[in-house]
Amino acid sequence: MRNFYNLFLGTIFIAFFNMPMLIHGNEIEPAKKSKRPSFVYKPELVRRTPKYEQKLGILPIIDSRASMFYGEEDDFYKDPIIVGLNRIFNLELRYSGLFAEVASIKDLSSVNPDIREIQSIGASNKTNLILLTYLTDFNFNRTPADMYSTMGGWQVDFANSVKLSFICQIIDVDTGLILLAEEISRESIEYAKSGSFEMNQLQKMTIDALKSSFTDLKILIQENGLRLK
Amino acid sequence: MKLIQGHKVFSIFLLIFCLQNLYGQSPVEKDEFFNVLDKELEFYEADWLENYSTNRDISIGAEWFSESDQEAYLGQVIYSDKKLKRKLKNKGKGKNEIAVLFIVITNNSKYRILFDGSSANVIDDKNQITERSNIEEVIKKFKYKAKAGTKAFSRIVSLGFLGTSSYDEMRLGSVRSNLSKKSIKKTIVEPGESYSRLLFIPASSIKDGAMIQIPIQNLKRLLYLDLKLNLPTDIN
Repeated sequence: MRNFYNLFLGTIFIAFFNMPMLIHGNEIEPAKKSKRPSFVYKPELVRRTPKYEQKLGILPIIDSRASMFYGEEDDFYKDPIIVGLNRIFNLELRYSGLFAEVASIKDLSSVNPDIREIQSIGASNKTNLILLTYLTDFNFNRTPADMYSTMGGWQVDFANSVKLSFICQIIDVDTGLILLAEEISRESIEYAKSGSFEMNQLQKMTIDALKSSFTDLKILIQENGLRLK
Repeated sequence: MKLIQGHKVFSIFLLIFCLQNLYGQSPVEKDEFFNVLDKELEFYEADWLENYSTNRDISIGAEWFSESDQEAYLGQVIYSDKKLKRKLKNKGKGKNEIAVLFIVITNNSKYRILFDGSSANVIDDKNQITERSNIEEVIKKFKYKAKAGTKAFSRIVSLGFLGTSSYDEMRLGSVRSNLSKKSIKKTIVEPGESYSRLLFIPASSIKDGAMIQIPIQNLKRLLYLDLKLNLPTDIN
C-alpha cells in the first residue's frame, strides 16, 4: 500500500514539473476552414475634400514573398491572403479620402509591367494613377525570446509575430513617371509562455500589423503631395 | 521494511527528477540556432568582394559562404567547403545539396532601385535557368531535431511521457526566423546604399560559365535591368 502511495506521489511530482514541457509540444497548423479568422476589417472613413483629384486604379497585389505564411502552409485565414489583401487595399485607400476616386482593377498580365501595359490599363479603366504593389512579407514567425531552466526542466518564452511588408508604387499613367515608391514594413508581436496558439490572437496580430502599415502608407501618400500634383 | 521499500521508490523518482534538470539545462546553454539569431551579416560594399561586376553604376558582388561563415551566421554547416571545392572542379553532382552565396548590391547610381532578390536565379551557359532554393527547402538541411540519444534520454527521464517536440519546435523557430532575416528578398536600395543578404542555390546549378541573375527596376520610371555576375570560382 505504501509503495502505491509513493508511486502516486512520485507521478504527481513528475507530472507537475513536466507541465511546461508538455504544453510546448503544440504544433502550429491552419485551423479547420470554419474556424479560420478573417483579417478584413472596416477602416475609418475620412470625410473630406479629396487631397488628390485624380482617379487611382489599384492593380492586384503581386506575391513576391520569399516563403509562405508559416512553413509550407498559407491557408491560415478564411480567404486566401492575396484576396483579403486586395480587399483591404481597396477599402483603406477608398475610405482615406486621399483620392477623388478609387477603382479596383482585376487584370494584370505581367509581374513587371512596362509603361505600355500601364498606359493600356489606365486607358481602359479611365484612371490617371496606377498603384502597383509587391507583397514581400506576410509571414508568421515564432521565435524563442527567452530560455531559462526551471525546477522541472527548461522553459521557453516565444515571441509570436505576424510580419507584413509591401512595396508600393504610384505611377502616373500619362508620363509613366513613378510618383511614389515606398516600402512599408510592420510587425505585430505577442509574447507567449507556451506553445499554445489561438486563432483570435492571430487575427488580432494580423489586423494590428495591417492597420499600422496603412497608417504609414496613407501618411506617405499625403505628405508626398507636391510630387503627386 | 515496507517503509524502506517506499523510500526506494521515491528515491528513484528523485533521481529521475535530477536527471531531468541535467537534461533540461544543457540545450538552453548550448543552442547554436538561438545563439546566431541576433548575429547580423557583416557590412560589405559590392566592390570589396573579389568577384563583382558593375552595370550603370550599380555593382553586384558575390562570394561563397564558407563552412566557418555558415557556422557563425546560420548555426550549422549545410554545405561543406570540401563538397563545394569538388563541385567547383566539376566533380560530383550536388544533387539535393544547397550552396550558400553572400550577395552584396551597391547602388552608386543617382536613382532609387527596386532590387528583386526574390526573383534571383542561376543561369548556365546554355541559358537554362535554375530557381533559387526556397526557405522551406533550406530549413530541411538543418538538424534542428533532437538526436536519437537525446530522445531516448528524454523518454527515460520522463518515464515515457515526453518526446522532444518542444525542443525541436524551439530550434525550428530559431532556424526559420534566422533564415527569414538573412535571406535575399525584394527591397528598395537608395542611391549610395549597399544591401547584403544570403542567396541559397541548388548545388547542382554550380557549373562552369554559370551566372547569378537578379532583376532590378528603376524607381523613377518603369525600366528593368537584369544584373548578372559569374558564380565565384573559389572559396575565400
